[in-house]
Amino acid sequence: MNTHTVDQKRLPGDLAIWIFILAELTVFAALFLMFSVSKSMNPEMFAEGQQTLHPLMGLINTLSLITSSYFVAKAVFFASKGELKKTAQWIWMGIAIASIYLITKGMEYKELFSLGYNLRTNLFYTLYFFITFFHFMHVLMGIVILIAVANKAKKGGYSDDITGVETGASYWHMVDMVWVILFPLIYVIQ
Amino acid sequence: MQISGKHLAGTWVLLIALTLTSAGLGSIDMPRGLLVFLVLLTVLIKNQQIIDVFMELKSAPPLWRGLMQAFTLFIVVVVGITLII
Repeated sequence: MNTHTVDQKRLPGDLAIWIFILAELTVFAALFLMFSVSKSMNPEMFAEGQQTLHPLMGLINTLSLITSSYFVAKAVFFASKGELKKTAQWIWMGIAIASIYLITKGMEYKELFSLGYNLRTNLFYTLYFFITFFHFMHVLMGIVILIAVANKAKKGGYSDDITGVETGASYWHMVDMVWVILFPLIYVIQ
Repeated sequence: MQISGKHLAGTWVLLIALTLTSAGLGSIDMPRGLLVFLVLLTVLIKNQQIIDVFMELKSAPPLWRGLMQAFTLFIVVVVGITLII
């Protein structure tokens, strides 16, 4: 059977993670608004700054995070069927794909720093580095959570209750959601 | 609600297609207002899919699904207005 049943009106994962997710999204919302308002007030500065970024790297990052999110969703799918080895395998694949994001972002930062751009260059770079690095740290934290979940799943730790898998996955999807907004805001809309 | 493996895969394909569309729109010469509208529309659809399918909130209590949807809608509308005006 290729389907799994989810209880009606059931919140996946732990309630605490959803409260945490909402708090995180509120912070990101403020940062997005700060970026878009600053952009509308300084269109030339932001246009020049955006010219120094690599849309292809932004695209690769988006594709890697979306694919990683899909792999983690597959992990939850297998967890609900009690197939915990597959759960761990899909999570590890998700982590591997997400590491592309870390490498690409690291390369982008390195290039910008080597060209002399940093947090103090102007408002565009202040917001660009602050927002993307803040998100980068969330990706790192998400990977740490996923490693813990994968290790526990491999040992059969979620045989009775998959709440932990769902909790880790929910956080990971939130990280993906935020990047889905960040990508066009920073790289596409000039 | 039942989420099948095929449904998850279909959602992933849709998200990839919308991402490529969004990236492609950025390289097409078009009025800024239209670009902002189309790109933010893809954001809205993508996050809706993540919320409903990947996060499985379609079968969650409406309050939680609504809060997540409200976040995306709020951002898209406010950012859209800010960038177009």
